Amino acid sequence: MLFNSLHFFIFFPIVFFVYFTIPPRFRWFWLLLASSYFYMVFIPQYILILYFIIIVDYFAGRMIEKSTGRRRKVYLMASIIANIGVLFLFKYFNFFTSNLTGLAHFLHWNYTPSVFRLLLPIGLSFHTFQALSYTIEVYRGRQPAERHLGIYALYVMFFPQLVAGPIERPQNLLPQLRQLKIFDYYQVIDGLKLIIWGLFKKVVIADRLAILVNTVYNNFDYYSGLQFLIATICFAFQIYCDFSGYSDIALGTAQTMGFRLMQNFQRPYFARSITDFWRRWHISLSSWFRDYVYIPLGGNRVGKLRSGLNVLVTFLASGLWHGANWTFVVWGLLHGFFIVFSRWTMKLREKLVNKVKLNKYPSLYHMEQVIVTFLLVCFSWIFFRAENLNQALQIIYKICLSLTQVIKALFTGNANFFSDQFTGSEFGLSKSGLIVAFLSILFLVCVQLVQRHGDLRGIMRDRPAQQRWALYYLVIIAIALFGVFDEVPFIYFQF
Amino acid sequence: MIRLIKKLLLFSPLLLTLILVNFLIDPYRVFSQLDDDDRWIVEKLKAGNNVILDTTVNDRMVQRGYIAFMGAQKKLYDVVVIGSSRALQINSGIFQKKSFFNNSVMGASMEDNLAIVEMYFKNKVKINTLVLGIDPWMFNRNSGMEKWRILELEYDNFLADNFNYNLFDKIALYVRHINSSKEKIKKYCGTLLSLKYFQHSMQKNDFNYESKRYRITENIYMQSPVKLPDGSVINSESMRSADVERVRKDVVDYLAKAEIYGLESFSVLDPNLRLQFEALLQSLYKKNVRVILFLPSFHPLTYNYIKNHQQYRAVIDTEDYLRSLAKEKKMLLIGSYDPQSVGFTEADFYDFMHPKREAVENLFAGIFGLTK
Repeated sequence: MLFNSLHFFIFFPIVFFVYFTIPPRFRWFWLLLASSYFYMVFIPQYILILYFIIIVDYFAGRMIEKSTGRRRKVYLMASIIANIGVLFLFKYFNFFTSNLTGLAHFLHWNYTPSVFRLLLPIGLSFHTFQALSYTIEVYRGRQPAERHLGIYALYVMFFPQLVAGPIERPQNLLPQLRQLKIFDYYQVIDGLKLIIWGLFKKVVIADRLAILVNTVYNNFDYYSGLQFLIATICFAFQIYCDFSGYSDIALGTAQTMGFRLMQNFQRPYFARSITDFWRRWHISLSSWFRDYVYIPLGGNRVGKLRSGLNVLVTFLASGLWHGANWTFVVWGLLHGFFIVFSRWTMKLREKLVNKVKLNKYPSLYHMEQVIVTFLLVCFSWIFFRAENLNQALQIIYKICLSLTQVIKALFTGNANFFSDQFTGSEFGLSKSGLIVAFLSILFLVCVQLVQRHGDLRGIMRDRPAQQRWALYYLVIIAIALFGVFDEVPFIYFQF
Repeated sequence: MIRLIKKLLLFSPLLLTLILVNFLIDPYRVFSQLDDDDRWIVEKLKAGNNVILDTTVNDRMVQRGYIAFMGAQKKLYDVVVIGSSRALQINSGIFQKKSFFNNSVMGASMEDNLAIVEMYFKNKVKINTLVLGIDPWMFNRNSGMEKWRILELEYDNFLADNFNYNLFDKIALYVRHINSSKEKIKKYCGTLLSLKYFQHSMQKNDFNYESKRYRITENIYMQSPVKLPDGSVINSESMRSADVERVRKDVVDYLAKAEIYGLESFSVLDPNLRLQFEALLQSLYKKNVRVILFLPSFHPLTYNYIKNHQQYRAVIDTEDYLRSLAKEKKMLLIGSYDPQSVGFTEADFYDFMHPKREAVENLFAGIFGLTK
């Protein structure tokens, strides 16, 4: 079930009102039922995979807690193998075998692998990691094993974050599932505001930009480097608004019922470095990799070289998590490389900044850092969005070529160059569509600038009622008039 | 929770606006029950165009759309016609200077007649005279005709209004329609609440659909049948050009199959269908509508076949019944299933059961004065 569908807007109020109407001791069951229904709307049979993982991890957690010594590790490994095994089978098997086939052909071996033709269960990567964090935390002694199978199942299946996160930690979510939730009017209102805002980002900004991005990226031969550059920048906003929009709706939905899920985004394009970017982008995933991959490998407590390697391995894994394609691997490795490079060159860059006296202009320095980080992130998005490595490299080549042509045009004063690039409807959007896209990005940036000084909902609460209601009506009317309602799935659903 | 509901109600103007805009503007005519081609035909007829049809035309849906227009006009129709394709030759030329429309549909059964009359009532169409084309199969429970089911809702409503359905019967009828309309209801609700449809409505997409299946024509004598703005039909070139010999041969071949359209297993007039017919007449009398019964003739060879085969005895009984009813109710009855009794020869037929346009016009010419 998509959050931006009529189905969800009928489903959610029913779940909400019944939740607060029924006796508290039945609420976990009602939410579990609703979550099962939510999941089964996609492919009903796949609920069995989810139930399998839940049962395996529930018993693994109980056994880890009861056992001592090596047995604890055995149960943990069983949980990891079961979870990663299911993930590997559905997500990586075909990728693995196709690469093996390629290698076999290269080595002139006769090898015909079997192909797995099942669809990837929706949200598999997300709830697998969420389930793994539970067994790992139980193993580490930081989380008691959950005795109630229903509560544990709800931890894995809680519908607001079931298919695209945030990837919750047991310490945050499990206790909340046991707490008595009283109807809190202000919580509900804040949750609804977040849902509306998420919807605005998704249908007005993300889905509109998707038309432009898809037009350019899906018609590779027809577009110039400059047009690809614009499409890539638009993709940066598309994927941010799409994913953060989903997260907002998830958080808002949970908040209306009294649950606090973790923040997943903190204005990532205001980051001053790639490291800072990963503290602001898909926080639940980056913190998962930090706690369960990077730190166990040694983190930065080991030598420089080893620490750099740990970063690369972590980001390689992160890239692979996003998809079974070399483009995601390269995307992940690029981010890893940027972080390692920035660490290794930190002193050199500080010297350079002092030399050009940029540090005497903190705002300018800040802006430079934000812009450079944004451009580096956009560069890596090319790999994320491209169909394959070959296309990604060709896009980069086209962009470089266009940039040299831009510089040439600027020096020679050739104004026609720019008008030749943009004749109007080549981006798949009408002129008014482009204006709406541009204005909504501007609106988003303004909102995020305001959010630097405090939570926007808190700020709004202090405004007079007329101003608040005017804004609510404006946002809803904007969604109604400018939203794209082709039921485009969220980008991260494919992961 | 009450406070929340009260606050959410403050958004109800937005929801209401959405629903009203979608329903009232309805750019793709989702709520009109007509598909785009049906609606196109209605629009063209309204504008006075001749429309080239084919056998796939959903004439019942076209009538639904046109009768709604007739009601909206709020004018008195001097003459309207209902019946089967055998009544489609009755045209406005017969009733000069009178407001006229032929609402006949192909393969009409008794249920169609009731449904169309119900549509007249529902749309408040004002009628002076109704010419009711009655075919014998309209009293045959085993005719196998199912096309009327497109108008099942109107048919059921007529029965509910005219057969003293009690409240429970009406509820059962309503529930039955809801069950069979689940997909439609889902579609309507989805469209009413659709933001995408709202955007289309705001762009004021007028119905500028152009049909790919049908087209208009200045020339009414075409290869395919042509529906005229008065609702009557000019038959296809092949039907019009068939000479007497060819028609006779076709009729002989047809009769050799020993299965006459709509008349199989017709041993007796069905009592329920008789009751429905009488209720139909009664409902028209209540609205001060004058009824003229029209009995379209069969080809002489067909009628001879009917007369000489006992299993079609009910056809003769039907005409006897209608004549006695017309006498009793002092209704004008025009025509006869027996072509000889109205002076029709083989030359007056397109095929085994469709009288020619000119023959029908001549038949009505004699009573022109009475319908003035």
